Amino acid sequence: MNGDVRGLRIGVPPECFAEGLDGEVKEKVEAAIRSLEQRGARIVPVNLPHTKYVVAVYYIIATAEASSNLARYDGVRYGLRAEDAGTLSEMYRRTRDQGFGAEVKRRIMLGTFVLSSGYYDAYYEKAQRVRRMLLNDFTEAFKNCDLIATPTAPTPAFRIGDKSGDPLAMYLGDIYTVTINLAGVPAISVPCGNSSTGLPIGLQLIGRHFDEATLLNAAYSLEQ
Amino acid sequence: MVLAKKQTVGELHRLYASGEASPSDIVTKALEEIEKENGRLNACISINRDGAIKAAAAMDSGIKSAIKEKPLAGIPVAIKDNLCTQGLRTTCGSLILDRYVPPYTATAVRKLEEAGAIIVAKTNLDEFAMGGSTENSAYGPVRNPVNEEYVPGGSSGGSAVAVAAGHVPVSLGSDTGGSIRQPASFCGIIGLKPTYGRVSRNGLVAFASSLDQIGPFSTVVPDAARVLQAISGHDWYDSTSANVEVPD
Repeated sequence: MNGDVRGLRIGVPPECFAEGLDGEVKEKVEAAIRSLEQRGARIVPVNLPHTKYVVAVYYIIATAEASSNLARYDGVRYGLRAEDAGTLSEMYRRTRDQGFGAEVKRRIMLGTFVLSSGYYDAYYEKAQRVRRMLLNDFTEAFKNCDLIATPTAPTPAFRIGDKSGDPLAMYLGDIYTVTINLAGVPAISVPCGNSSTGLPIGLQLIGRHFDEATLLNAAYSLEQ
Repeated sequence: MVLAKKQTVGELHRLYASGEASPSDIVTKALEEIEKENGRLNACISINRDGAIKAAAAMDSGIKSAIKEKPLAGIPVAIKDNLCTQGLRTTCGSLILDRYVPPYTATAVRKLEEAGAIIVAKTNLDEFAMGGSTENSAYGPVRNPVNEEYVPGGSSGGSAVAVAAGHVPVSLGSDTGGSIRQPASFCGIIGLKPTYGRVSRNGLVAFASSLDQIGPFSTVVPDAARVLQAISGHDWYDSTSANVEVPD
């Protein structure tokens, strides 16, 4: 790791700098990308055309898997067991009702719904198909670049309580990060300045599968 | 001896090499800071005071040679509370696992300990890592040390805050949809999500198994690289972990 980024090709997808992105975040992230350019990296245009679907796809696949994974917390094998239940099914229900918080329950219900017979094809299977298309977007993009740069989040931190009543607003904040998990590629968030109110802003650098070395080196360059 | 608020792994190793500080000094200082600030920031669910002090004391006499062999020798670390730690409560931020004490340690955590790291705390998170603000924890919300009226991001908010507040130089989080990178962004530090398969998920309490990955927080890039190197590699206990060379 030497921080040398000369000749490195950095892809900047316009889909990640469009609607919904905070103005100050955009400005700082673009400045960080220019700074990499000044150190010898080359900025190239790339596209991630399925960006508009990623939040929906993620919240189908992640909740489907969560609803299966969390089935094990039944009061028998792990942790909490509700008391005073008359029957086994009542014990399951009470344990899960008392043990899980609202967001976990919401995701178990969403996941159970998208996997249920009659909706499986419409949601889960379709989401898996789009997941493959997202992966193809990255394969295509990485033919022309070595790293992709985006904001990490569309806004700086928000106030405690500001979004807790609006799960959808919270989910939309994941637009630039969930794609990376769906494609399985590595990514790093690097600080790139503060908002006018003093809140930190992060630049996300995304690499090819198993190419953490290039990511870390470019991040190290920004640190120098 | 006056220690700066935020120190990197390299800086701590220089103090160990010169004899200016011992692992016991550094671990005690980390524990004191966590205990002092946890009422305010709520970054930690469990504090491993006795275990950490014992582990540090065992390293004190041999630390000058240990830092040449082990990349994280004598370094205090914080671990997200959805990573299993044998004998140390692992709640996932949920009441359902409030009293769960795992019978084994997650592979990534075991590797970190083999590299010399000392676990000082298990950190707060959104319940089962579901959330982007660390407000959905049965143990209460975590506050951003940059401005305490703001969220630290999530779901690995506690691990991000432990580093951003200067309690530990590095910590581990998990990232299913941004849960390392987004809190790193909100707290002004480095957060890395490795390639799926780079780090074994054995002992990471599952949220979404095709998306989950474990990774580091740090204040400088070389520390993140150091932790990644320590925790990477194929593991018989995770069939999706990859047998790919881990470069320096």
